[in-house]
Amino acid sequence: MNRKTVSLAFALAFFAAAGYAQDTTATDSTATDNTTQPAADSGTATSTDSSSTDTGSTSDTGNQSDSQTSTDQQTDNPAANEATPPGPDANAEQPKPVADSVAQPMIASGSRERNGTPLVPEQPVWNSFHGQLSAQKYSPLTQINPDNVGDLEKVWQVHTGDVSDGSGDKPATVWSATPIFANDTLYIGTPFYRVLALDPATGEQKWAFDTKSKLEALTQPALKNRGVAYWQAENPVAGKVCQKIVYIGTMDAQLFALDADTGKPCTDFGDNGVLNVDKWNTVNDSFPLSVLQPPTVAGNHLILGWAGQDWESAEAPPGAVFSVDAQTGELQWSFETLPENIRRKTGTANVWTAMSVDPGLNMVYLPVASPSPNYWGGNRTEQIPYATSTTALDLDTGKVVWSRQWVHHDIWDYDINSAPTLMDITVDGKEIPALMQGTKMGFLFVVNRETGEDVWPIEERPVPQGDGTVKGEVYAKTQPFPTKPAPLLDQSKKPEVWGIADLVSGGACSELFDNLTYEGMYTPPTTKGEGTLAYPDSAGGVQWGGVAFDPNAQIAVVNTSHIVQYIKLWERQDYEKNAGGSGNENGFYPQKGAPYGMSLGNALNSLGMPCWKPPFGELVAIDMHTGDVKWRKPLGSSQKYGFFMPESMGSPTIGGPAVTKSGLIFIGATMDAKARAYDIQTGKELWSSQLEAPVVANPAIYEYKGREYVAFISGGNSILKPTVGDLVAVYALPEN
Amino acid sequence: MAHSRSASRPRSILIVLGALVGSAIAIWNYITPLTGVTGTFGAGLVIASSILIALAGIVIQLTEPGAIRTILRVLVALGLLGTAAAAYFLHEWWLIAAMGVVLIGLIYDIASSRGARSKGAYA
Repeated sequence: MNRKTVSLAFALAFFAAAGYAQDTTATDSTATDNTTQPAADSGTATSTDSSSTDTGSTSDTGNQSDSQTSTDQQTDNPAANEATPPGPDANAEQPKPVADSVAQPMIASGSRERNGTPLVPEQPVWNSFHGQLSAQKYSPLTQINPDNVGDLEKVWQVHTGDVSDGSGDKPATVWSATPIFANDTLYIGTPFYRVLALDPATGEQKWAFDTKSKLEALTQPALKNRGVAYWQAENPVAGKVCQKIVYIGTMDAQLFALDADTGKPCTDFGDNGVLNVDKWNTVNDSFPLSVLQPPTVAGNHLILGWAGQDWESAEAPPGAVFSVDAQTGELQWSFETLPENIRRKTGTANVWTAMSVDPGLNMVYLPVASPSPNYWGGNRTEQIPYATSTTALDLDTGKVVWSRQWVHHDIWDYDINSAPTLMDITVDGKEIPALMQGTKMGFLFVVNRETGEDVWPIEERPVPQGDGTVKGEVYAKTQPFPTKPAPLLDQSKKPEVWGIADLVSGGACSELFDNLTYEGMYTPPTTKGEGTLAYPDSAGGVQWGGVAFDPNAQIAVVNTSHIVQYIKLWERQDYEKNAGGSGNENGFYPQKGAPYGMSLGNALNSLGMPCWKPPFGELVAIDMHTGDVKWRKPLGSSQKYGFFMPESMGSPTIGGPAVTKSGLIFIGATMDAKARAYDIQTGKELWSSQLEAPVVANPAIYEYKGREYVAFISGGNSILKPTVGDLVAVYALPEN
Repeated sequence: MAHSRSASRPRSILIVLGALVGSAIAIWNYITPLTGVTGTFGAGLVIASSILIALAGIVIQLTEPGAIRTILRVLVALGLLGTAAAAYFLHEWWLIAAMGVVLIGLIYDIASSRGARSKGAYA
């Protein structure tokens, strides 16, 4: 069958399908199946995923009592006690004009000398969310290679039991955890906020800990977890507990510290093993500071960001990042992303995803999100240089070393949503300590990680200035555009309508596109017609899986989504009349306190088919010597009602890649819920395995007793499809 | 009588067998974990369509020659094409093979009926 025939047949299949049946979670009889807990309950809550942004529309039930209590704890409360150092860097209070502050990096305290700590650990390491603190997702293991990867078999699997499809009394689960391998154990956090310690070779449970956290949609419409973090003492004290600690955060802003050997709470940490992060939530404390992303562990620092609800209100807790002592939970420093004078009228610009660290430079790199509300910025027309930025801080003081803002006056929810990938590259014969920041816009910004200066030129280019319908806005005149690498998706022109989707919808797709305002990338939201066409959209481009990097081959690998959405602002009265439900990266959000509510929709026809031309997602490899694309190909297969679209169309993707020295890429991320392996040199698919729900996290690669393993968590995310799962699946080569 | 002899011969047995095997494959894909289509609407759809083809095959065997049998044969043809197409997009390759058996059965049924009528005409 040629492509057109296949496409037409698929369209007919859509016609044949008159309803939707959700995939079920399941077990696999082909491998050792260790069910650690009876099957999870079901629930009644309507649940839609908040989104890739980790924000969403939910009940607005912040932890008020904790916040009230915390107001008395001035010494622990940097946000309330402005006089207490360390505070935000001075540049946050006196931001420079856009043109000055962003065309070149904002460098506050200069670069640092490396102290000899290798960026790529000498031993295989997968003890943090992105494998290593550099976020390279790289394993130097070579046992599994392109020649034998086809022989991979599932050697064990575990169903955690911690899963909900949202039909019962619990919100749906969204499980984006990367397993971490440390202390000869595989540690996993679940969306019911439990920690499992598993034997890495068999999946047998060593211990489990239940935080007994509220399983309620406090800041997200779904129960979300992105795993756990691990710390161990540099000089452990013999016989003393908690020399190795596992941490898990919760939706209600609690951070638990557990002894890695036993799973028992570390009583020296916080209040008997629990740190109430919400005690620092004192400005616009309308919701708790959900700790869904595991903390970044660097030396004795735990660096904490948090997730919130920037679609819900104009005013929200201001973005703050906290560094606490790994053993005691005591605050070491905090960093505020918002200038003090506007903190009361806006909020967020938080860090809700992973961070990366260069121990040699003693720097932590923050991917900072957009301020609130997401789609109207009339309450925050002042410069906010750290919003939607990559900001490098001194690890010991929290002082800004440099910062680059990637979107000025962000009114598109273009949060920087993944840890920047740190890489030493050679360009034109010159070795550069670089950093690559993937973005929702599909741009890959590459800068010198010591100074924030461009590796390849990043140009400020004029962008659309709106149609004049929105009150209070002051649009940025320019936005930064990288000249290399090329954008992951073509934003240079309006996306084309997909003929088949248009045909079967009787022209509805063309009509929709005609009724959308579009003046090019960065077209501001409007009140007109159906709204503004958003491409790339807030769910598109690169998600929290980020960019992987093979330091030997100097190849960067990244998966991307191509999704068209449309945004409309509604005058308050119109909003109240028209607002419907909110959902998975779509629906209505009030933006309370703003003159406009908003709606966001995916550009689909009435059958649920995308109105824009495929591919819907790709895997891209970039030669970092030149910044050129080495290869790119559609990734995975889109699926609806069970029907798979041709792989030439690709799939939207969430979750990221991992790479090996032997020349492999492992990735899940696709709607079809498959784990795959590719040849990093050619992009050829070499292996795949069916799982029960999309793998929306990076895989983990580890070695235990001489055998190499690859672990995938099949948890699902309703941005892709409603299927959820609770499966941990681990693969290895046959022992013979 | 010619049609009596025709009715007594298992003309549509391959249709019924192919469809029953197809429905078994479809059910297996629907209920078995990690088939990629477990519990999906599409997998359920091909269970239903396979069973309907099997029922149609039985009815064809029992009907007299005429319009109803012809309509059923047309429906079986459409059903097997639709089921095979759905199976292709569900990645249920064995179901496509089963529909191939149904197709052979349909051809055999039509051919053997014509043969029976021809013999009847000259008997």
